[in-house]
Amino acid sequence: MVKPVAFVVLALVVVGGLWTLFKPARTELPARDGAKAAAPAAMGVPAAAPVQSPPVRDDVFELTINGGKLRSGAEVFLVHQGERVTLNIRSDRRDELHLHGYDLHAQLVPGQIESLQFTADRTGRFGIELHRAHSELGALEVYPQ
Amino acid sequence: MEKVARGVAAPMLLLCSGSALAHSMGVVYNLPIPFWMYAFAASAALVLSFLVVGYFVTAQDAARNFQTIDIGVPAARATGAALRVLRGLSVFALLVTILAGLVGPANPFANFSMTFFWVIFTLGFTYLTALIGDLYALINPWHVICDGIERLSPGAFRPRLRYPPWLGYYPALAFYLGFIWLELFGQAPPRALGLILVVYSIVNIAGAAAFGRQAWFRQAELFSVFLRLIGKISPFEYQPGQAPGEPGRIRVRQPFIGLLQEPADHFSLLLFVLFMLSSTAFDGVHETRPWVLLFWKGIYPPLSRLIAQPYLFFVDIYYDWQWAMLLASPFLYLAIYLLFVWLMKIVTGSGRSVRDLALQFAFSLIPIAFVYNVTHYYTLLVGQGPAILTMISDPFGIGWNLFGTAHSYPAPIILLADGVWHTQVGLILFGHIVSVYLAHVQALELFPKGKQGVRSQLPMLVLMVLLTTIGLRILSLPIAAGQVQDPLPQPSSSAEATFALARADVAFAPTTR
Repeated sequence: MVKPVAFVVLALVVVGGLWTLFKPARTELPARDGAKAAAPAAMGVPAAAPVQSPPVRDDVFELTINGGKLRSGAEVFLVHQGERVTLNIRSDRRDELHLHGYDLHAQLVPGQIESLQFTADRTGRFGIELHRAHSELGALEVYPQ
Repeated sequence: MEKVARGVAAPMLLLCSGSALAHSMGVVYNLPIPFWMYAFAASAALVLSFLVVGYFVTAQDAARNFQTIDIGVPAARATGAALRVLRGLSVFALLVTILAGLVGPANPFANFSMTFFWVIFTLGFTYLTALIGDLYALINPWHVICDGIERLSPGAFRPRLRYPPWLGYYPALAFYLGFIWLELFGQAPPRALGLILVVYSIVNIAGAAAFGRQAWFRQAELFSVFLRLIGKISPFEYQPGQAPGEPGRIRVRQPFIGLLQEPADHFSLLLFVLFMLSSTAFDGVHETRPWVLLFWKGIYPPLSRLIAQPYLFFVDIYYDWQWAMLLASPFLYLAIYLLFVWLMKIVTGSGRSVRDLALQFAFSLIPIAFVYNVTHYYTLLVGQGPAILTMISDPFGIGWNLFGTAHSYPAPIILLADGVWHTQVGLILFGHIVSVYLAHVQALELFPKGKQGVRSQLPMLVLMVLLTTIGLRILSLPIAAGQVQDPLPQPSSSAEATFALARADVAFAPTTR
C-alpha cells in the first residue's frame, strides 16, 4: 500500500514542479500569426517599476462596416480582464450589432459612429454579430489577468 | 480590400452565417488555452507516463487484483417499479422531443427538442452514464417501444434474418458518423431534428423486427453502443436477470476497471472507439485558424487558377473537404494506432496477430476519448443546460406553464476562462494517466513473461502521449474569426487573377497596431 501512495506523492511533486516552471507571471495575449488581431499597445508602465495599483487600461478599437462586412479594423480584439473596452463602430447601413456573452447591442445608423463602452469583466471568447446582415464580424477575446 | 470583397458579398454570407463556434446547439465561449499551459500539460503527460512505467516495473503484482462486489438488488420490488417509471419516462421524453421538434418554436434556442437532445441527452446523459453506469441499456426508449409492440402482438420481433457476423458494429458506426455530421454541419432546425428522430425510430423498429431486438440493440443502435462503452467507466454494473421476471443485479467495481473486462469483440468496435477520439479532435480543429487556412491558403490558391469563378466552386468544395476529413478521421487514427500496435508486437515478439492486439487494447483508449469529450463540451452543458428548466414548462411553445418556470430565464452561466483551462488540462492529464494505467494492466495479462509486459508498453506510451498532445495542441489553437476565409475575387482576366492572388495575401497579413 506504501508504493502507490509514494507514486502519487511523487506524481504530485513532479506536476507541481512543472507547473511552477512553466507558469508565467501574467497571461500573455496570444500572438496571432498572420491573423488580423488587434491587441492595443501596452500603456507606458515600465516593467521594472513596481506599481501598486496599475491604472485601468482603456482599449479603444475602431470598426468600419460596409455592406454588412468588416471593411477595416481587426477581426479579433484581444484584451485582458478588467480593462475598459470601447468599440467605435461606423456602418454604411442601418443594422444592429450584438456582442455575445456581454449581450450588448448597438444600433448602427449610416454616417454616425456608435460606441459600445464596457468593462471586460467576463473572460472568454465572445462573437460580434450583425443581426440584419446575419454576419459574424469577429470576436472579442478577454483573457484572464 | 475594397476590391477583394466586392464580388463575393453574397457567397460570403454562406460562410459567415453561423457563429464561429457554432454547434447544432448553443454557443461556446471557450478561449484557446495559452501556449505555456499546453507546454506544461504535454510535459506533465510525458513525465507522468514514465512514472506509471516506473510503478509497473517495481510492482508487477499490481495487476488485476480488481474485485467487483455484488450488492444484489436492494429492494427488488421497488427497483422494478422505478425501472418501469424510468422506461415510461424515457419513451415519453422521446415523444415530447419529436413532437416539440415538429410543432414547437422554430427558434432552435427556444425549442425544447434542441436543448434536450443535443445538450441534456447527448452530453448530460453521457456524463451521467460514466458515473452511474449503463442505465440506458435498461431504459432505451426504442427498446421499450419494441417490447411494447411485442406484448401487443407476440412474435413481432422474432428474428427474421440472422444478424451477419461481418456486419458487427458497422451500423452503429455509420449512425455515429451521421450524428457527428449533423452536429457539426447539419445545422438542422428543430423541424429537421424531429423528422430525423422519427426516421431513426422507424429504422430501429424495422431493424429490431428484421434481426431481433437483442442483436439490433446490442450492435446496431448508436446510443446503445456508445453508452455501453461509456458505462464501462462507471463503478456500477447492471446484470440483467437470468430468467424473465427475475430482477437484475448490481455490482460495484473500481471506476474504469470495466474497460478491462472484455476486449473489443469486433474490428468495427475498434473503429467506433477511434471515431470517439477523432470526431472530437476534428470538432476541435475544424474551425481553428491553422486548419481553415490549410484549405484557403494551401489548397485553394493553386487550384483556383484552373477554373473560372473559382470561389463559387470552392465554397462547395470546402464543405466537401471538411466532410471528407471528418469521415476519413477514424481511418487516419486507425493507421496510427495499428502502426503502434505493430511496433508493440515487434518489441514483444508476441505470437498474437496485430488485429488481435489492436482489439485487446482498444478500450484502453476510451478514457482519453471520454475526457476529451468532456473538456470540449462541458461548458456547453453548463451554459445551455439550465435553459431546459424554462422550456419544460412549455415544450411546444403554446403558452403552457406546467411547472411555473416558463417565464423564468436563468442568467447564462459563463465560466471563467482560467477555471475552464485548468479543468480542461487537469481532465486531459487524468484521462491520459488512466489510459496508460489500463493499457499496462492489460499488457501484464497478455505478456506475462518477465519485463515483456512493461516493454510492450513503450510503443503504447508513445501513442498515448501523441494522442494527448494532439488533443492539447488543438485546444490551444486560435479559433478562426469571421472573415478568415476571405476569398479571392472572381477574376475577369488572368492578369487580374494574378493581381487578386497578391491582394488576397494582404488580407491575411498581420495588422499590427
